[in-house]
Amino acid sequence: MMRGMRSVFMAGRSLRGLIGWGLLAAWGGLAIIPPAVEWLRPGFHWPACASDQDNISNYLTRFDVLRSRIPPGTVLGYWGDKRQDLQTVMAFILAQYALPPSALVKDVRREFVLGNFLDKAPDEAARRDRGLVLVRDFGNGVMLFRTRTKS
Amino acid sequence: MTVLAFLFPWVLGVLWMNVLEKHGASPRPGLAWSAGFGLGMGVAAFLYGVGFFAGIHHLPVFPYLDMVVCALTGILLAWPIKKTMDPFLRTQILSCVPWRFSWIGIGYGILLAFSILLFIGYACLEPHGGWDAWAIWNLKARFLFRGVADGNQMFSSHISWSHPDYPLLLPSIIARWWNWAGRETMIIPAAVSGAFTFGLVFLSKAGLTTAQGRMAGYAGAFALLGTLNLVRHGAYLGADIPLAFFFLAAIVILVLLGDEPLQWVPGLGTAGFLAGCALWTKNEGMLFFPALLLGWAVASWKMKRMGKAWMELMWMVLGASPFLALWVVLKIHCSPSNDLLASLSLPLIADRLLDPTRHGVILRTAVWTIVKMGSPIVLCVFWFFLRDKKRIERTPARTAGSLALIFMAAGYYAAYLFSPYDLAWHLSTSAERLLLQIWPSALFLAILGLRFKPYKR
Repeated sequence: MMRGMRSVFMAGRSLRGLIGWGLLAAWGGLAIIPPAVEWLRPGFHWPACASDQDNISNYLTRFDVLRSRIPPGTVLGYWGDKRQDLQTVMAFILAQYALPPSALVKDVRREFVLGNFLDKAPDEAARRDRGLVLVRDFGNGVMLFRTRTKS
Repeated sequence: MTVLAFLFPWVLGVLWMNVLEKHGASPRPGLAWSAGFGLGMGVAAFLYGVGFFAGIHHLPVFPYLDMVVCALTGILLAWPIKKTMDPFLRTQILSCVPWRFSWIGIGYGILLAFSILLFIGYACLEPHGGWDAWAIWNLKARFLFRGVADGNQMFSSHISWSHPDYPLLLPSIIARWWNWAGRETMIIPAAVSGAFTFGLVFLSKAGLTTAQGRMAGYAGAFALLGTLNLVRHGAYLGADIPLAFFFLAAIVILVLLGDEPLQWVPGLGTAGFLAGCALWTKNEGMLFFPALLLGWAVASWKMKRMGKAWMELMWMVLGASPFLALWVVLKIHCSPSNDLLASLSLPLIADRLLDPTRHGVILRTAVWTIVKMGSPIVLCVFWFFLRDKKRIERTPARTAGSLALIFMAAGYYAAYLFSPYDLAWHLSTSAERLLLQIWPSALFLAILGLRFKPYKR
């Protein structure tokens, strides 16, 4: 114990060293508080938010079946919700995150088009306007369309 | 297999550090383990990169090839020390265990434990990390792991937000580990990021302890663990913390070279290799590598030792050459142009240079970010309370390291000045991360500039 105390005093010059180390330790301790508070807020939902039950993991599982059905390296078109906000941007980027090694293009003029709808799935008229035919509805707003070939 | 994927390169790195020890320096066990971790991850990422460009990274046999190359390299590195293997094991492994009691040590242990818990908490809460992790780094890792033979869509301009021109060290480490594990699990990116985050703290502590004594080591560790959002950024699973690790590792090794680096040529090569790892981690590393070389040249010129500097620079470039080669292949064959450079033109440069508002916004944000992180406070504590009167003499490495960081800061400034994006958005999303990249190295050099009274039992 005394050795430890002595080492503190050896650090700088007696009281000054002690104050210095005290400040440094307090600095280290205080810096942990803001992220700890931030963590604790959603942490109240523990363990509902933990591991594979977090929002992103849940979102990604919507694409599992689709991913197993498309050939690797395909470039798919993308058709998403009409509104333009952070959530729809994230929906698109996360859909891409779910689908490597295939890529998504925010365009419906592709042979195959991924439909990813968080709000409301499009009706028949909207599909027809875009020249798309539903290949399969994977549920939870995930659909695969094919561009209608001109006869 | 899963654990071996991590342990194999790590042990390789420790053996590498031990070879350096034989060549003159005497790194402490903590330094061998922490810097060795970086070296090992660099070797692993290099092997994976070669496999990727050769188109064999996705083959089932690749992990075994990787294992054989790692084992052979390990034997090659262990061969010179085979007679001294027993003392090596004793110094590198057993001496890590006995721990001398001190209040500072207790405080450090508590702070470290809390930080690790916090990291684990965040990693459990957000296993996919922050925006950059899933939009860039883990996305690339998925492309590598799930990839088809022809390089696939990873470099496609369709996914421009993922910065297809970014280098691949972090995704390579993750994809390689997934390969060995045989499945994608989000524990691996978190483990890699955690190892880099706390490796950074251990490296800073061990480097300072080796160069300046135990008190300096503790000071560095406290200051770094106390850096606001260090752990948070680590848990974001981005590449900024690994990048900060490699910046620091290169500088630590250079500092340990002392006054006559040419007497320790493998050390110069190792520093170059670590700077090369930074280059292969993120585009900012491409700024760091020339900044370090330029800093070394300027420092040598100031110290009137340019004759030796050319050889030293050559050894550093040689050390970085594996990653320089990968970088050139990436740029020539696969990668689209950089988003920041693509929009540059002479009129735009002139316009931005003469825009005082833009300069003002960048400077204001830089000062605010530095203050917010508390950097001036911690430096004031060092200056007023913990330094001794005598100043440490300058060596080429300390001057070069400081100059490199100044060049880096200037480079970051220029990147913001000529940025094609909305400046406020660009600053708000990246200023703290950029500062965090260079802060550990700046802290290391700042503490080296002060003298701590040695610890006496």
